[in-house]
Amino acid sequence: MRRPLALLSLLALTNTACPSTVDPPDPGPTDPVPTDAFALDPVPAGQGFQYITRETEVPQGVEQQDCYFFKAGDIAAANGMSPTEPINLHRIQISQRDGSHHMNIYRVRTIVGLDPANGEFQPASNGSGPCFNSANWADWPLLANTQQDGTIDWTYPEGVANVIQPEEWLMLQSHFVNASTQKTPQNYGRVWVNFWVIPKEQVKHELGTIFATKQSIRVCTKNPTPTFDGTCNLNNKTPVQIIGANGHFHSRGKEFRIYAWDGMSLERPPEDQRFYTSEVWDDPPMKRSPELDLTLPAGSGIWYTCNYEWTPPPVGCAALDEFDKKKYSTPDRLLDCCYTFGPQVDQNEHCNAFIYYYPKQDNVNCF
Amino acid sequence: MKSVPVVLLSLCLVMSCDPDGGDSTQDGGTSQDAGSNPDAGTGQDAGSNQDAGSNQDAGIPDAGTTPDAGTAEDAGSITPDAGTAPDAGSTPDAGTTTDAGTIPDTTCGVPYLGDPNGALDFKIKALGPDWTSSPLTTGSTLTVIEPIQGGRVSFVGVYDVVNIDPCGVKILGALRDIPTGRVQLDARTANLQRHPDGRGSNIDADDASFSNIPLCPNQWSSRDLYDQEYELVVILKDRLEKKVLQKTLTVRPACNVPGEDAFCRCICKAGYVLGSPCP
Repeated sequence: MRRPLALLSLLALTNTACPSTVDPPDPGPTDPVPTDAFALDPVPAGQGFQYITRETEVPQGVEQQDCYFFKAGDIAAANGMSPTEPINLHRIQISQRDGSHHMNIYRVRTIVGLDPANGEFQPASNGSGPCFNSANWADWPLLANTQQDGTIDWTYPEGVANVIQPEEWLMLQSHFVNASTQKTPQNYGRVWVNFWVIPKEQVKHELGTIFATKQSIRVCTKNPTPTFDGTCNLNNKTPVQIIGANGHFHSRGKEFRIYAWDGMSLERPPEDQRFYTSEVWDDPPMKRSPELDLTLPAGSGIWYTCNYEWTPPPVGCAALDEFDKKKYSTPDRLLDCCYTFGPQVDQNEHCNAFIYYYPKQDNVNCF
Repeated sequence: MKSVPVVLLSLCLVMSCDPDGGDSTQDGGTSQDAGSNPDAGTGQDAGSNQDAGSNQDAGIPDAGTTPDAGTAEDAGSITPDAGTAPDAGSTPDAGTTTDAGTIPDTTCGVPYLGDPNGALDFKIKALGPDWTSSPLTTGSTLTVIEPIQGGRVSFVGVYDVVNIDPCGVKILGALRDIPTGRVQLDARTANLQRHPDGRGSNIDADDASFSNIPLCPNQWSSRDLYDQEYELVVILKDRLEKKVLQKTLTVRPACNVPGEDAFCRCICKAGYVLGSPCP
């Protein structure tokens, strides 16, 4: 697969000097356009657009999390679409180099510490920098995500579209890991995303998203097998269809479960209500339509559960305790070689649920 | 765990962080005690679980050698005065006079709280604006706090806990919108600390041991999530889920963290739309 010259131009628009990125490997004089086994063919003009991240160096021992900002209408217009019409996203293709930990796309809302005005490309390494601080995008609705290596190609059900306004800023966050528990074999990360659209007259339902996360996670030697349960109400007045789901945790995670929930019960729903399971932390399944097409009645929500098992840390207990003290001001008497909430896979844990549904009530965040 | 200004911790140490001077008025509400299971005390199998001592080579603290597991670890936590509580006679024995030989070992190094054959009991507390806990009683203010990842939660815990293995308890906290019946909840596994009186509690300095009830952005309740009455439900289970107790209180959530009140009220108001501008 090839990256077209038009896209090279687009990519060039976003390129600014940065120490954590490098030029793509020289393909040699007989091949002026670099090839990449993970690259996606471009979207034909007028049918959507493609966004390609930079070639980001991820050397051994580094976790690279980069935030890319772009205005949807600008990118669409560069590929022959109207710069003023809503973008009706109906099919999304995502391809990532091996070593990807996650790729999330958000709609930019309240600016806290991560500002598009600071540049279209804002890299961060090893837990430092605003692109690692999740409070910076606390009210940014989820647009799309994947955690899987290789290619995801998902066409929403007929007439369903995730509607993006042309003036909306989007943030693509790419996290590559080349550490103890996860590797980036090529030492370079890169992501390709194809946004395919449908005309507005074909849109019957707008897609909505849910992002839910457990806070203040701790997995410690004296509490080695904790479970965290959480809920998220959809506040839906009418039934909705759940058509996409994936869960995210790190290597201490044993099982991630998501259930349909009635919005009121205090007991975990019965197993026949479970619609998602992941036991693979570094390449969790992305369950999606047409296989996943679950009706939730009015007034429903989701219930999600993360189970963990403490394991000796590859970075050593001293590093975990140091992080715990520094980040969370944990007093010495409570240090217990704990994995704590955070983005770094070797020393932190997460419990995040990503859900896609229609018709949209609102994009929902449950913290 | 959340950063707490040193001055607050210091103040907390001086004042014992018990503004109400103990809790003699807590309304047990609709408590349902499943703690009568006759096997509750004999089902503890500490020996078959994690061997903390075997982790020494990895530099991991040895639960078995914890120097003061039986003492209060958190000076900032509530220290109820069991001796002066008017209902002390009606509450289960904390077990401080029980024959130590009948108390089973535990997996986390904190001694058993009370009598394995006794009925589980607890009272409800929550972290306040200064990140120290206070008892909750009917009509109490429930502070709405910004946690590490943004949004707003309430940290709800327990104290005066008795007759339970303190290791790996499951604590569930839920806030119910009374008109609609909808709830938001958080349940998690935690270890309780043991106080000198033999009773247990969550540890203030460890907010991960509290139920982190997700409240805002308010995309679930029909009403503002402040200055309104809500139903707070707390369920405590032992590790093996043989002892279960549920308590319910009516509380008033409040955006009362200094400097955060305006933003809190914005994202906690009824009808909030995710990403709407807030002050």
